[in-house]
Amino acid sequence: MSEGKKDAFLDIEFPAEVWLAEERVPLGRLVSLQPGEVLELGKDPDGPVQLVVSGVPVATGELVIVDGHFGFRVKTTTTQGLARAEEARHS
Amino acid sequence: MGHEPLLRPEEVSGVLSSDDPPGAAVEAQPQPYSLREPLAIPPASQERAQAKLERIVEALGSLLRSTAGREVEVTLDAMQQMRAGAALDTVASPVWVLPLAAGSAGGLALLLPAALALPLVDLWLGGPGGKAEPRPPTAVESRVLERWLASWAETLRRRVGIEAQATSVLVGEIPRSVAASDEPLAVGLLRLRWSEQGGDRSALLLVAPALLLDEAGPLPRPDALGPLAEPLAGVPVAVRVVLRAGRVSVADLLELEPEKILRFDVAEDAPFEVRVEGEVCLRGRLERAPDKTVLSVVWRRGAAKNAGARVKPEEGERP
Repeated sequence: MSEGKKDAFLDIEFPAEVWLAEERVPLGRLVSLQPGEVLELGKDPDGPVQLVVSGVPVATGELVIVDGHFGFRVKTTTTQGLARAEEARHS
Repeated sequence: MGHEPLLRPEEVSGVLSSDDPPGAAVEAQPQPYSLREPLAIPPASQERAQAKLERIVEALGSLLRSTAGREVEVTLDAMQQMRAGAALDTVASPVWVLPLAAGSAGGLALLLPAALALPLVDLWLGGPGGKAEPRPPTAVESRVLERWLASWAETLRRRVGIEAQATSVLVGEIPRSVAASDEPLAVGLLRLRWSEQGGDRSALLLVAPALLLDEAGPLPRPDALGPLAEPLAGVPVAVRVVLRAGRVSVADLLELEPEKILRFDVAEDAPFEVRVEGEVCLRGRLERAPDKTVLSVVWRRGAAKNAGARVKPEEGERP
């Protein structure tokens, strides 16, 4: 990849999400939840979360608060995930 | 939150003398939030927790009436949160502890002063339910109570959906299967009255917060699923809890390395999405209890109007 092409590539943005938890919840419980009620998650509050870009997990880390905003502190990255994100961009 | 005793000194002496003044209600105190004494039940969930505690008390009253064979009135005067050890200290010694364990969620326990416990045992044995001196239970009384505990566990399972197991009756000690001494619990102040006795008797009901916050499994609202409620209510559904974090550039991604912080343009009180098969069903704000994570629901998907709320793949996103 030439330097010019690389620079242009760096500005491209992808939708990102943080996957906090994946759970199995009884249907009866799910449909009965109302605003003001709580859904208890089995997840450890300090447990790892996943950063997902274009549907592909790219890193594992933890949610943090930075100046009143959510942030993501990287623990490990998924090289394969990055490669797949790039692949998706070209497809 | 200070360790304000639930029973005032005059009430404790009244309990001991089996002569509570009628109508000496204890007012519910406002529950301040303190970082040094974190609440196990967050303020936004207090109302819901209290409603479930009231259902537990109703079940307890029903059981007492059926096992005592006469009218026993049980009311919940107040709910507070306090550490298990501090709650134990508020009841006149010797405290009869009737515990039920509910697995990893903790458990619940009825704390009875002897002056209340002994007349109750009399009632269960068919006696007059008279006054009693402060003393610990005998072996026979413990067996009676443990049989009654098994009935209580069954009543809670059937009526409130709490899966609990009877354990041994203790004196002055809360088993760790219910709570550790420094663990914050929901504490209900109960008043018991039965016709032969007259007057009010006070007792405490300790309940692990998880049992008040989690209604998983039982008691789906009967109208929510229509006639198929019974078979469908227990079907497990895979849900994913997601924070939409905006967009990140390739440059940002290439710089990802351990300890690097990626800041999102998303306020810390932004709601998370609960998705089923890609559909957004609920949105809720993250709350952290001591050992678990909960979402406080702020929005739920409507019946038909929001049927188009499917999360559309954004540009570049895989279907």
